[in-house]
Formats: sequence, structure tokens, C-alpha cells
Amino acid sequence: MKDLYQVFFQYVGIFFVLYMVGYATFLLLSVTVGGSELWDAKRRGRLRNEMKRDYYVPVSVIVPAHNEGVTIEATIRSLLLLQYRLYEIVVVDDGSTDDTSDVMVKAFSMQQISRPIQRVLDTQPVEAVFETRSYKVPITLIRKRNGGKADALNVGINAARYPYFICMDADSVLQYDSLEKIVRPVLADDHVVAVGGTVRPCNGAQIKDGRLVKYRMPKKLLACMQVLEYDRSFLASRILFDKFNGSIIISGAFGLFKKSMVINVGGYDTGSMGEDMELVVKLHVFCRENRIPYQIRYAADAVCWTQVPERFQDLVKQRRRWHIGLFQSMMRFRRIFLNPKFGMVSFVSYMYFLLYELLSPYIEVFGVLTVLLAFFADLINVPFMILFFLIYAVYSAVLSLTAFFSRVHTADLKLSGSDIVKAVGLCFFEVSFLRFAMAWVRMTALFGYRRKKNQWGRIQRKKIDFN
Amino acid sequence: MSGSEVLIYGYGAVCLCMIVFNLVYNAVQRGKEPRIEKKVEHLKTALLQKYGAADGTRASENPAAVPDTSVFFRQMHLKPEKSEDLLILAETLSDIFDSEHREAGVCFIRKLQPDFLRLAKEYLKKDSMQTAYFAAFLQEYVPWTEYSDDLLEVLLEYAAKQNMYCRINALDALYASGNAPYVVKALNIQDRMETLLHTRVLTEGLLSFSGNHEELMKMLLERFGEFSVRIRLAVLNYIRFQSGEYKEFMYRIMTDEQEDRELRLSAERYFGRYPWEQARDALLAFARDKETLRWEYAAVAAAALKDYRGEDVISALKSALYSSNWYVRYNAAVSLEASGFSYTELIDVMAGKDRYAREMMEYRLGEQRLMENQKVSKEGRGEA
Repeated sequence: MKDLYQVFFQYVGIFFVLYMVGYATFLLLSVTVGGSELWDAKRRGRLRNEMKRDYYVPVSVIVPAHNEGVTIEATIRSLLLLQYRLYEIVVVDDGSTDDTSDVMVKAFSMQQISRPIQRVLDTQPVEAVFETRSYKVPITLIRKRNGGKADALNVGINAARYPYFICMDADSVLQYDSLEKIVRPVLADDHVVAVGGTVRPCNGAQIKDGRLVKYRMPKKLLACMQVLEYDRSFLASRILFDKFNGSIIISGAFGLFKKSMVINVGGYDTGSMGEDMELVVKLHVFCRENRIPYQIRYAADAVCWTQVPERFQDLVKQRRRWHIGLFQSMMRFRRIFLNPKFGMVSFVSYMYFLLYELLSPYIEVFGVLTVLLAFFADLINVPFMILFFLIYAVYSAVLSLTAFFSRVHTADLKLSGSDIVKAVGLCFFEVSFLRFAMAWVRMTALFGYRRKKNQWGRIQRKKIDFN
Repeated sequence: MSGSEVLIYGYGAVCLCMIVFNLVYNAVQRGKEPRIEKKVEHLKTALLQKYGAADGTRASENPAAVPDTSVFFRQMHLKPEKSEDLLILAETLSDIFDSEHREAGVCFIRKLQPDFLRLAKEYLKKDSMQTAYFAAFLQEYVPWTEYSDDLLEVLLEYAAKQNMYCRINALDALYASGNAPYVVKALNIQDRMETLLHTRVLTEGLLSFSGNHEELMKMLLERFGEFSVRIRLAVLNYIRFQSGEYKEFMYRIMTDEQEDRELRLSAERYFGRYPWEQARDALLAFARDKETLRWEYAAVAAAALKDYRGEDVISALKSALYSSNWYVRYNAAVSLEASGFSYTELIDVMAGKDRYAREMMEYRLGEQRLMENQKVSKEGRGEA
């Protein structure tokens, strides 16, 4: 029996060594590439590698909102401060049960208008349309029957007047220069069909007129850890994937899309909880299968500030939703798996998301259970295990800090001493505890997910002052 | 040490190096900034002394009297071949051009003129970010720069680099040179590039051309057939914003069924901007076309007919109001309004005939009221 155990643990050991080496290599590569890209961007700025003339690609900013009465006014006011000329704002109220529409109508003196909305994409019916022309750009508010975020975005696409649209969250704020930055890849290459922006937690940051005036680490520890996590994720994988046109996710909080292409692929999938990822993967599949030259890019300097959950239960809800969305997108487009037609998208991006995102919670929990089993079977070298775990924690922490400091320095943010201590201390806590807690949450996310289709993921909102 | 340990420690070391690099680089940069400011100030004083009105006469009136720039650079320990030093020089010149001592700046740039070709070649060998920076530097001082053919040839090489900013800056410098044959050559180069700049960038660049537009348009049309569709589109859009003298050429494109759709649409838009009686029938035919696959032609024609008058136009626009396509209906409604039709009358006349047509006219009526009623609020003006 013991021999059998030993053979089992031997194979498990080999699997985990390969798994960890793969992950460590990926992280190292992506943080190194990401870091050097950010330094390059900073150097570009110093050497004035910028567009001196204003090239304006007309953009519709679509803001889907559901019970956002607390934040919607501040969000729209921040959008009016964007340093860009040719855009419109389309707010889609997805059957809110609070005063979202009333707040909009009152705050921006909007008037109801009988505007026919074309139905290029099939959606829930529109109940009322309000418009105002009293601001520097037209603002449209569309009230519709509840159908979920994807449905609201589809209505926004139907109503959008311009050839490109931005999707964003109603509790986020776009930095004053974010539109100008996110359209650059489109100007640089005519084949660009989508561009992802960088999402950064605004908890702790002070933003005035769309500009960051003061940056502090958030007071709440949970939010602090998410700052480290966001920096690692946006610095790491997104920049690396961008190098080979392999981005398969553009955050729903900030992304630019070519409208005609999105319409060609049928818009956002209302049956998916991860409509943002689903759309991007769909664009890859559509363009590759129809041999359409395309690029999906990432603009690291186009920044959107967003509120991250400060309560553990909100974080759990958010991560469950993300994991279900990931599962749905990966399953729906499983034909990408090891399919040479999709090149690096298949062999690197899809594989990474499959092994290190979708399956990782199961693998991690399985790893912990195996360690426990080996401990009880007296087949484990405890001092070595502790040493190995410490090395893992230090390595992960060093990578998180590398990503964090690269972002801080290249964005010219000033950090206080206490913030640095906080970041260093919390990165160990994040990799040692939060990561495992989130692994458990993600592992259990798929239980009963079908009941939650078309629901908006609610997290507690705070009134924000962006102006 | 086992293989896996080597791997882990090796990876960790790379990360630590990155953190140390970040910290050191940041510290060095912070220390550098005040030094650069000091250097700019020092250079400015020296430049004003040498190239300003030192002896009471305007230096630019007697260029021979002012020192050679190479001597000046040697004295100042400045090497413009180095991008760091060129940045300092550019900052100094920018300060001088913004001040009342502009004349000294002009004089200095004129003296630097013979060095431009050498510098351009030097920067061509550097990485594309530095090359892009030199192109931007050149373009900055266009009014006082003489572009020799050799310099323009080097700029063409800049325009063939993959770096977007390098290409755009080089193109901008070429547009600013006002030399049409080189602009055409540059467009040819862009056509052969793997990534093609957005049509809007090319069109707006062409519009900024500082030379003779007639000559440029003529040369572009001579080579029109050699360009790819994207470049041709940029050229057509450029002509549309620049001149109303190419109606026959545009008409041929608009009516050629074998031609690319985007080009035909651009030509259609041309006749919206420059109404031409000979194009009327073709536009009317487009507007009346109910084939859903050709809705874009109908939509553009409905908009283009805004400045055409006559019963046939009104009838075509009314017919377009019944289109199944939103944009065709919308543009038809706007053009009918431009023809002097009152929406209220039209709604009454057409009431009950077609829900979509009626809805669209009601929307335009509402939009009009919105524009009239909503005076720009103080807040709105402040934000505009």
C-alpha cells in the first residue's frame, strides 16, 4: 500500500514541479516584459514620441447602469471632463429599481424624446429615451427593461452614433487623457478592432478633474491587496499577450471596440456572466475563421479608475462571477484548445487561462489536500515543505512588488514610507492567504451558477467625488 | 544545489534586479531633473549672448558675424547627436522662441541648418524612439529650415520605420517641407508597410501640407492606381476637404460598380459637399434603392441630397424615409428639413402610412426642439 502511495505522490510531485515551473516562468517573463514596456513608455514620453496633432476618432462612451443612483452623476460629470472632442455619452439604465434615471434627468436637465433606436442587435425593449445637448458632448439616457449588463451594452451599441465605442462601468472614472490614449492603437494600425485599457483601483486615490492629484494605498487592507493584484495582472499578462496579439480579455470596466465588428459577431452574449471576455474571444474566433486581418491591443497608459470591493463578501461575489464568466467563455470556445489555426492565442493565451486561471483553484486545493495526505502518511519532509513554501511566498511577493513599483515609478506616483511598508507586508499576506481563500471561492463558483444568469453582480457602492 | 533551486533563485534574482533597477533609475532621474534645468538656463544665457543682439544689431541680419554652432556646442560641452543633449537644446530653444528673444532662436536655427543632414543621418542609426524625436525636432523648426533633397531622402527612411511616432513625425516633417513629390513617395512607402496608419491620420496629414495643394493632388491622382484601397481612400477624403475641382474624377469612381465600396462612398460624400447637377441622377438612384445590402449608398446619398433642390429630390427623400434602415431614414429626414420641409407638416401628411418614417420625423422634430429650448447652461459652457 505504501508503495502505491509513493508512486502516487511521485507523480503528483512531478506534476506540481512542472506546473509551478510553468507558472513561475510565465510570471517572470510577463513581469519582465511588462516592466520593460512601461519603462519604454516613460522614455517615449521623455523623447516626445507623441502625436502633436489632434486626431479624433469619433467614440461613443456606453455606460451600462443598474441601481447606480449613488455614483452615476459623478461618473457622468467625470466623463464630461475628458480631454477629447469627438465623443458622446450613452447611459443605459437596465431596469433600475432605484433612482438612477431620475438622478440623471435632474442632474443634467435631460428631456424625454421619441428617438427610435435601431435594433441591429436583439435586446430587451427600450422604455424611454432622454437627451440633452446642454453640455460639450451629447448625453443620451436610455431606460430599458432589465436584461443584464450584456443586454444593456447591446442597447448602447444600437444607439451609438459613432464607429467606435467604449464600454465602461458606472462606478468608474476615466482619466482625463484616457480616450486620447486608448484610440492611439487604432490610429497606428487600421486593423485594430479592440483595445483594452488599464484598470486601477481608485480606493485611496484622490482624483480631481479626471487627474490623479494624490495617491495613497487604500485604508482597507483588502483593497490594498487588490491594488497589488491588479498591478500584477495588468502589468504581467496583458502586456505580454499584447506582444503577440494574444489578449483574450479586455476588462468590462474599460475597453474600446470597433462597432461594426462587434455587430458582425452578434454583440455581447446576454447568456454569459463574463460578457467582456466572451466578446474578445469571439472576435478572435470570427476574424481568424474568416481570415480577416485584425489586432486586439492593450493600451497600458489609458487608465480607468475603479472602486474595488472593500468587504470580503463583495469580493467573493465579484470573483465568483468572474470565474463563472471565464468558465463559460472557455467552454463556449473550446475549439481554440490546441488548434493551430489560432496560433499563439491557442497555445499560449488559451492554455494559460485554462491551466492557471480556470483550473488553478482545483489544482491548488488538490495540492493542499495532497500535502495533508502526505503529512498523515508520513511521506513528507516538513522542514523542506516549509522552506519550499517560504521560497514560493518570497518569489510571488517579489514579482508582485516588481509589478507594483514598476507601475508606481513609471506613472510618477509618489508613495509615502508607510504605503511602501504596507505594500511589502501585504504582498506576503496576499500570496499566502488571500490567494488560497480566493482559490476556494473560485473552486466553488461553478456550483449552481446557472440560477444566477443575467444578474448584475452587486457590490456595496460608496459615493465618490471624482470632480 | 538542485536544478529547481537554481531556477527559483535565478528567477528571484532577476526580480530583485528589476526592483533595484526601478529604485536606482528613479533616484538618478530625480537627481537629473534639477541638473537639466540648470543646464537649460546656462545654455539659454550663452545662446542669447552669442546669437542675440549683442552689439546692438540684429544677429539674423548679419549671420556671418555670429559663431558657428559647432564651436558653440564645443564650448557648451553639448553633443546634439545625443538625444539627451538634443532634449536640452530643444527645451532651451522652446524657451527662447516663447520669449521676446525669438530672433536669437531663429538665427541659431539658421546657423544649425547645415548640420541637419548630418544629424538626421546620425539619428537614423539610433533606435526608432530617438529617430522619432529628431523628426519631431526638425518639424518644430520647419519655417526656418531648408529641406535639401538629401534631407528629404533621409526623412523617407524615417517614414519607413515601424515605430508609429517615427512614421508620423517624419510624415509631418515631409508635409511641412511642402515638397509634393516626396509626400507622394512617402505615401508609397506607407502602402508597403506591414501596419497601415489609420486613414484619418493620412488624410489630416495631407491636409496640413504646406506646399501647393493643386500640385500635390495632381501628383497623387497620377499615381492613384498604384495605391492600395486604404491610401486611395485617404487621398479621396483629402481631395474632398481640399477642392471642388475633381467632380468628373469623383463621378467616375462613384458610378463604377467594380470599384471598392469605401471609395464609392467617399466619392458620393464629395457630391454632398460640392453639389453637381450631373451627379443628381446617380444620387437619386442610390437614395431610392431599397436593397438592404446597399443601405450605405442610400444613407450617404440621402445625406448628400441635402443641398439639391427639386421635386425629384423631395420624392426620393420621402421614399428613403420608408427605408428599413435607421441611418437612411435619419439622413433623409435631415435633408428634407434642409429642403425647407416642416416636420409637423410631414408627420401630418404621412401619418399612419409608415410607423418608422413617422417615428424618425418625430425624433428629428424633438431634436430640433431640444436644440432650440435648451440654451447652453452656464455649467455646460464652462465645461466646453
